[in-house]
Order: sequence, then structure tokens, then C-alpha cells
Amino acid sequence: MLTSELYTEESLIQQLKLHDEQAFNYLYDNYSKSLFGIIYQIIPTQEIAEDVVQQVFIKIWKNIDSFEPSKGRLYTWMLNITRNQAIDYTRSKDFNRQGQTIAITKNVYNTESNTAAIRDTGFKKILEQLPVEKRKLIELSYFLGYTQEEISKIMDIPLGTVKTRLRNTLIDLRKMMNLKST
Amino acid sequence: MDLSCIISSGDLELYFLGLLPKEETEKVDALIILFPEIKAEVDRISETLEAVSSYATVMPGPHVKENLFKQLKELKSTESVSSTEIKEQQKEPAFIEKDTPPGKVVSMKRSGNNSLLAAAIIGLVLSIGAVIYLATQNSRNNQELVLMEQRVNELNTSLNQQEQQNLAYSQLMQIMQDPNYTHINLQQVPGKPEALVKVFWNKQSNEVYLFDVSLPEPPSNKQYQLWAIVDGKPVSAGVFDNAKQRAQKMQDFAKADAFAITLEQRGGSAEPTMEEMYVIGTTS
Repeated sequence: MLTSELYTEESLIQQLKLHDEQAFNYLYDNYSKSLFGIIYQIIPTQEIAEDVVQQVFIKIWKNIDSFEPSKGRLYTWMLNITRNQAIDYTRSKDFNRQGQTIAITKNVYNTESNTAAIRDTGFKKILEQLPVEKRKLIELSYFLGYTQEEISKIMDIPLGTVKTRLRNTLIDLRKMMNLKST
Repeated sequence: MDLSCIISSGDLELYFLGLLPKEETEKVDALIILFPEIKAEVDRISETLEAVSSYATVMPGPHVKENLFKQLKELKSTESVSSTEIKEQQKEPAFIEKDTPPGKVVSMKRSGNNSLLAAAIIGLVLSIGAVIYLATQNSRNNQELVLMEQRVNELNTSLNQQEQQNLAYSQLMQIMQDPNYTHINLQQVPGKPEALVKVFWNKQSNEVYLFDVSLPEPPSNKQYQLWAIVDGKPVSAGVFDNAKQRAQKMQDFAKADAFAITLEQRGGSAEPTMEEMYVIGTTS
């Protein structure tokens, strides 16, 4: 996804920092599906998720200057902005007023029955290969941004177990996606 | 130092997810700079989550792109025009006029016979209004000025700190990349808290630098002391309080079989207190 005839990651970042519209156009065409997919996991309401993805790209535009390639890749940086924006939204008053929290928690707890949020089959397949406990862990930490303490309470496991189990889950995911292990 | 326990602790995963407390985050920041193994592990974590995320693709509606680029165009056009704020400030004197009309109306009614009195009242009201306005405006300006000065000072301080830290980091990087420096990992002594300390020793110039990532904060009446073991005997290499995030220069040594750190009374001791030895590492 990162390679293209048009831009290298380096030249893309350079153009983005100049607020070049064409570069943003390229960025949107290449990454909006994936970033929107993440938001959709967190906020399974099309309209709101669309608002959030728009905010995300505006944030990228405004903050691209503070992005440092030495600290990590562009995609990772954008993913973090995306997760934070979506998670912040779920914690805002607007969201709670609409009673949306319930939808999310439902999604977390009844991963068997309620899969409305996880639409894309590839993604569903990957997560479904994980045991329920591990799937919950990924959802709570990665998609919902719960702290270690919160996860420990919700899942009723000791604090230290949260991080070791999270690590094991990521190792499992690597294997499932056939990424190199070392 | 055995890095595997840090790697397997799960802390790096929490670090990546932004779930580590601030202090721990800074510690991992330092570890990433120091150890390529740690950096590689953090990269692996990001690669994994990137890969998972790339499976979750859903297309937003076409109107999203349209709206977005409309907004971005607006943003771009306002980026150069930030002078609007100045214009708004200039509007404020209108308050004088806003405040005065009630006074004006009252005095007009009564001034049917005596226009001089009316004029005097209007004049009085206006001047009181003006005095109050100017007084509040003045104190507001003063307050803003004070706040701005504070802010500038804060920014200066944090800039200085940042510069110092950058300097410290670049010095550290230089030492780390210099092939003349031997890196010695000091290992935790059983029964003492887990710690990560490195000694960089230049056998050509005899210079010794210390970089401590995680020794516990010493009590105020104590200091850490670095020892070089030369021909089986400990020789003091100097005391230090905090060598976190920078390489601290210690005494030069032409010869040493090992380095060790003990906790001693402030100012250091002539002989190391063996029970208070925290870390040790041999040079070969």
C-alpha cells in the first residue's frame, strides 16, 4: 500500500508538509478505506464515522509538520491519530447522549452474536481465529483505548496478566498473518 | 543487561498503544535509542498492528472526500490570513457607546428645561464610563501582558531544556557510534531492583562515560558511586545522582577488569559497601 509510481513515502511526506493538495488527494485515495475501517470498528454508525474520518484527515493536514519519520512510519502515525480521534469521540458527551456506548459494549461482549461492526470479511476472519478472550483484549486495548487497569477490571484478570497476554495475542496475530517472527 | 525480560514484559506493547504512564514511556524512549533490539521489537509491534488494521477496510461515502477537500481549501486560504484577530480587537471601543445610551435617554427626558444640566450629566456619564472602561481595559491589558510574559518564559525554559536534552542525546549517540568505545552492560546484583546501566569505555583515550536508564532514585543523603575493579581492587570512578537520558563523564581509566555501582553516603566512600552493590559488569 505504501509503494506507488507517483510517490515514495519520503516524497509524499515532503509534499504533505507543503500542504500540496495533490499529495493529500493521493493520501486520501490510498488510506481513507483503511482508516475509515478502523473508525468503523470503534463507531459502527456510518454518518458519525464519516464525520470522524473527515476530522482525522483535517488533523493530519494540520499536524503533518510535527510528524517525524525517524520516530515511525507515516501509516503508524496516521493510525494513532485515527484511533485517538475515534476513541475521544466515544468518550465525548455527544456520543453518550445518543446511547451509543451500549452498542460498543455489546460489540465487545457479544462478539459472537453482534458482528454488525465487523463488516469486512478479511478482518473478521483474522479476529475470529483468535480465542474470544484474546479478541476482547485487542478490541479493548487497540480499538477502544482502555487503560491497563480498566481492562484488568473488565476482563477480571490481574494487572500484570493484561500486558503479557496482550503480547501473546500480538505474537499469535503475527503468525496468523504470516509475518516473519524475528 | 538481559533485554529479553523487557521485550517479553509486554511493556513495549503498552508503549505502542499509548497506555504506559509518562515516566515509563520516557524510559522506553531511552531504551529505543540505546538498544537496536528494543527498537526492532517496537517496529515489529507496529508492523503487526498495521497489518491487522489493513484488513479492516470500509469505504466512506463519496461525499466525505468532497466535503473534506472543500474544508482543506478553506484551511489553505485562511492559513495566510491570520490578521483577522487584530481587527476584532479594534472593535472593542464600541463598548463606550453601548454603555452610554441609557444615561443619555434618562437625562434627555429631564433636560427639557435645563439643557446645561443635561449636557453636564451626559458629560459626567460619558467621562465616568470612559474612566471605568479605560481602567478595566488597562488592567486587562496588564494581566494579558503578565500572562504573555509568563508564557514566553515557560517556552524559553522548555526550549532550553529541550536544547540541553538534544545536546545530551547527540553526545550519547556520538559515544555509542564511536568504535573506540567498548560498551559494558552492568548486570543487576541478585536481590537488588532490576536496573539497566551502561558504561562506555574508550580504551584509547581512557575516557569513561556512564548511562543509567533505571537505577532507583537515591535518598537525599546518599549517592551512587561507580567503581572500577583494577587488579582485583576497587578504585572509585566518581559519584553521581542521576545519569538518566545523558552520558555522564566519570574518571578516566587505562585499565579495569570490571565496573560496579554501589549506593554510598553523599560524597562517596573510600571503600565500596559490598551489601549496597546494585550492578556489576566485567570488561571482557
